[in-house]
Amino acid sequence: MSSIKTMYRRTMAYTLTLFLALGVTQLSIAEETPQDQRINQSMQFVEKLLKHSSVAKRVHDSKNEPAIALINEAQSLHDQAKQALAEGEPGRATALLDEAVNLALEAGRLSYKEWSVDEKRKENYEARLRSVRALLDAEHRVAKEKGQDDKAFDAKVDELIQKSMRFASRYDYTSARQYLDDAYQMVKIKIQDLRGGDTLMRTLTFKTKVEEYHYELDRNDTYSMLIDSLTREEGQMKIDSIVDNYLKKARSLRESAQEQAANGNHEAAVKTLEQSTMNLVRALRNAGFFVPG
Amino acid sequence: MRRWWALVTGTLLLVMGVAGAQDPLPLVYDGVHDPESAALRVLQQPAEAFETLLKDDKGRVDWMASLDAGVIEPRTDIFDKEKMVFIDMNIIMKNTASMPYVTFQHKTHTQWMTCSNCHVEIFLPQKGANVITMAGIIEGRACGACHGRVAFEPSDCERCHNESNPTGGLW
Repeated sequence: MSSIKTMYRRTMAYTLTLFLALGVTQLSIAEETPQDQRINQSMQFVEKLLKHSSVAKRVHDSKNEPAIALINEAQSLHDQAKQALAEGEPGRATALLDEAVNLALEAGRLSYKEWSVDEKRKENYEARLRSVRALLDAEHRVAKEKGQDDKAFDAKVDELIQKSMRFASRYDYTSARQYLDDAYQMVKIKIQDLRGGDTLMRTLTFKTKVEEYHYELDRNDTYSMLIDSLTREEGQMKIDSIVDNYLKKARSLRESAQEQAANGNHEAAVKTLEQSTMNLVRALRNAGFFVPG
Repeated sequence: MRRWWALVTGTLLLVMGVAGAQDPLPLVYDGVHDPESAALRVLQQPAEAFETLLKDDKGRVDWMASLDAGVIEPRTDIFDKEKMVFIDMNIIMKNTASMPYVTFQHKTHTQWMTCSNCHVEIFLPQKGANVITMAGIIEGRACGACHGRVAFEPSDCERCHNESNPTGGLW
């Protein structure tokens, strides 16, 4: 009896100590609010950005006077933010830190070599030009299909594209892009006018049985990947003897299909692959996964 | 005595664990951000950012519902100058074996993106020009350029395979 009382008292003592420790921890956390923690972390982050980051290094190495002036101004704002925080004005400190970050990033952009920006502009222009041409081709096909050819529209878009290409040939990608974007916008709106509300049915037609065989192989791969993912990675699919039988049958059928394809009999290979895939689907269903069909 | 101690400690740890559980994961645990980085605490946590967004039936953010309800108003581009043009055109893809057919809705995609995001680098805007397979999608090609990375996972089958297939069934 006395041993039970002692055991009880000791347990209560340990439990109370634990709660007390948790309470003290909570108190000490309460002294520094989440807002304080965020501002202090921001202060450290901005200091790192201005003194030790790759942006700061690039600005100072570039010898670009306006960029260096900006980062110095950002440093001054950081000092003011520290002062504001010490004076109990966290709102003002946060605003000053945000401004310091903006100035530092602007300094980084200024110090970036001009040729890199031009390369990017050229890439963006060329990507947009490819897009406009492909969409214009699509618009021609759809307009023809619907009997709504519009030569005036085509001429206008072509004129804009030609203007943009003239500016691009002079490396003035900014001006080139303005005309190209106008052409792009016109083509988009025209496609919506032609196709808005349509529902198109798409069925793949294979030119050869070889193509169809590769397509079915991909489909078979998909179910295999799914089963792999469910078993190895997520542990959601348990392999019992019934499921295992279906998996073995699927593998055997796939091997047969591959042999048939190697012998040039792609028609038979497609049918065999379909059966293999069906066995993978049965494996999934028997493992408890719903697959419609 | 040891059993009492284990029971009390275990119960306390269980309560703390349940109380501490969060969805979505804090940045420090998401496997993407560097947990050692001091900048991590400056970033807004997903749980706070997503609090006001609409959720799907699995408890995840439903970005389309949030956009349609006006909870978010994304900029159209960096300068918020590009005019969005929604293309209201559906494509039903029927090469799905026993699975329901796939419906691709241009409208939901053009509410987020412009034509050149996909045309031509990912898809040619031409009938019969794009062979799309699930294996390719899972490997990051075609639809997989976004789905499974910045849009919902390809494992959410019913979100795309949602058109009745006479030889198969529906969800």
